[in-house]
Amino acid sequence: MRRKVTFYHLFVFILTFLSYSFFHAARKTFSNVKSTISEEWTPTFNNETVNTTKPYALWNKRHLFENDKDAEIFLGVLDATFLISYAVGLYISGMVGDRLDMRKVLAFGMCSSALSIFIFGCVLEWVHFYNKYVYVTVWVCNGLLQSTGWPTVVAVMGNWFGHTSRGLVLGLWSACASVGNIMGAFMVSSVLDYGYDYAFLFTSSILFGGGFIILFGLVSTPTEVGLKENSNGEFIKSYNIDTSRTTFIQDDADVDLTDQADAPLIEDSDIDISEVKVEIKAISFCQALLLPGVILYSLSYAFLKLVNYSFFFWLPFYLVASFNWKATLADQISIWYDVGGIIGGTIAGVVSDLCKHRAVVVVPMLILSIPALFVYGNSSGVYSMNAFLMGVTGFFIGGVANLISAAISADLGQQGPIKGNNKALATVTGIVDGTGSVGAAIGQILVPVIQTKLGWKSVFIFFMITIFLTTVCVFPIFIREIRTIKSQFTYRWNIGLQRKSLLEDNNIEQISDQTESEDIQ
Amino acid sequence: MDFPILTLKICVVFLALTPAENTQSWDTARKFSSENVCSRICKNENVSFLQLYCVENDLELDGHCCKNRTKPVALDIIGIDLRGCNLSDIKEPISSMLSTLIILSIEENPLNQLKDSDFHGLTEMRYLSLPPTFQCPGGSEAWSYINKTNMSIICNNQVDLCSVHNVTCPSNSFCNNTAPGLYECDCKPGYYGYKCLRKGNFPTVQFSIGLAVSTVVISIFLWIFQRRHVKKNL
Repeated sequence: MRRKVTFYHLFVFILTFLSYSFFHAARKTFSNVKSTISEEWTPTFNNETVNTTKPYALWNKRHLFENDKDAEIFLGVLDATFLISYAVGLYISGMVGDRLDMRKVLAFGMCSSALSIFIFGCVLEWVHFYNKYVYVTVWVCNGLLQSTGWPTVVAVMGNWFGHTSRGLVLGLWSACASVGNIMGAFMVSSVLDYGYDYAFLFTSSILFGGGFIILFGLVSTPTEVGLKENSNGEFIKSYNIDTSRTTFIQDDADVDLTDQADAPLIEDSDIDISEVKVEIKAISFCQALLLPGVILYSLSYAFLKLVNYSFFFWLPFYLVASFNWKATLADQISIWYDVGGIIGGTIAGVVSDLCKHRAVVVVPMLILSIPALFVYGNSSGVYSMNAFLMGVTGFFIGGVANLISAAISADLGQQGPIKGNNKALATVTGIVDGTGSVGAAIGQILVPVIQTKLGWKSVFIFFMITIFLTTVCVFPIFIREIRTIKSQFTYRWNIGLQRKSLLEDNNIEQISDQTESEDIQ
Repeated sequence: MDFPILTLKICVVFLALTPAENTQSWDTARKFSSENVCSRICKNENVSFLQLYCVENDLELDGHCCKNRTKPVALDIIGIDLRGCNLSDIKEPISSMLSTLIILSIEENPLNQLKDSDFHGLTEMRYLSLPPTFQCPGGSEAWSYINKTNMSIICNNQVDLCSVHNVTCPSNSFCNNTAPGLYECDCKPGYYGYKCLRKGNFPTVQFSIGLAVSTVVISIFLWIFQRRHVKKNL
């Protein structure tokens, strides 16, 4: 039975989508309960009419921090440590995901992250043990464990969705982060009245349940169920292959794995497979780093994620400070940025699928995002205008971010030297996203500094410069792709633009090379 | 000597030596019921403010208590005159009538140190007379008018501190006068916990059971449709 999309594809899409959404919902809980948590950690503040509010036990008993400013600083510290441990964890988790069964890594990550969030938010509150060092330690563990999410889900999606449809599917699929944020916000607001600990209980137990389901329901690669993708992108059940001969030691910690030879060989004839054993190892960190495009895209993603994350994070503060918007309204408008990002990522994915090249879509979008940022920075505080411009900016910046972190990472992990080797996807995704997170962490420190010293206009200029640097990093790849595309098309004044056939390729390449070199001279 | 005879002798000696007042202090140590207090014999011959007030307002005077018949069977004690009752402590006598007491006279008593907390709950009190060595509970800001005489100090008209100070309690709480000179911010009904932040109860049990059941059901469903086909190639 040959099929491009099977039921497995559907379930893998849904399961990985929900899995990452739950991760994000659990992460978002912390941001949404910040004000409530800081009330629980501090004594009451005295206003003009009251010296100290009585009774003492009801209003002033807790002294983890003396006032809300100190608590806010600590919450910022927690944010920063989370980002750093998340970035470090991404590098590690990518490698781990490629070496161990991805399903188990993901399930373990989900369940243990849920457990650490439960300890952070519920246990410590229920036993009334308030200690700064315990909080930081638990949150660092959470960061490391949460990092198992992205590399594994992207790798699983990359296994199932081949190069041809990857852009569209992953573009749509990247909505999981935004959906997770919305889900988290909704979950928190529905139970926050009962106490912030119940918000953590709600999201962490959903995450734990999700991990359990992943363990029992996720098929991480098509080969697990005996499907192989042929060159047409179709999945064939490999009946005529003696699968008992395959040594598929996925559960071993052993790095050396013996697998069947590449699909084309099997398809053609019944070769004695034992003679064609290919040793496929999970690639090392350095090998992954040196793959073509990885360093460039990682650096560009660092700059891009800085803008993406900082814009998303500091936007409410900007709107409240500049236009006196209400905090809840300012929070809401970030949704437009997310929406723009999903649409942008999907469209960019579709177009890059059609062009068969990604950088040719990335660079124009990045260039267009600079004026979009400029216009937004100078826009007024009218809600509808702001929301629209927010969506436009999100389309360009968020769209590219989605493309790089998902489809492009999957491409990078399955190219040239390691084509057919599935053991690099998670590592490469981890490297790209890890570098991006480092950029985001730096942005978290830089933006408040720039804002307090130079104002919000300078922050926007800073963003524009950073986007420019992103473009610079991707530019070499862009040039290379332009050249490749150019060599595949001919233009004749009487016929117009034509795709070169494979037969003509050699002749015309020589001619066009000559004309090119003539042009240059 | 026989032990019983010895104890009897000790008792006789003790009784002979103790002045007459001390026998009455035995009474004070016993738990008072309102009837006991009202019908106690105290050395207060002068006509008291309480008697005047009671007669003036057409209320029932019972011993040295003034009672108000609010319902056919219920009698609230709104005033009590404990002058010369040889009290060293006022907690016991008035413990059962705190919320309704308007008038309290306790001068001419060998009172020990009086704390503000002894008057806890006496939020309706409008006339309090103490021995002249004491201060009005809550100080001069808790009472509209304080009159000091040789015989006593009279605290008049308790001030509603919540409204006078214009106290704004934090959100989800309201100002409550608890005693002369004391007020606090208590949680509004329905709110509880530190700083009255919490409201309602999370249905933990139902949630856990629901989550566990749905997780197991979905896992079984997915295992059947997905992972059952996984070939274990070893």
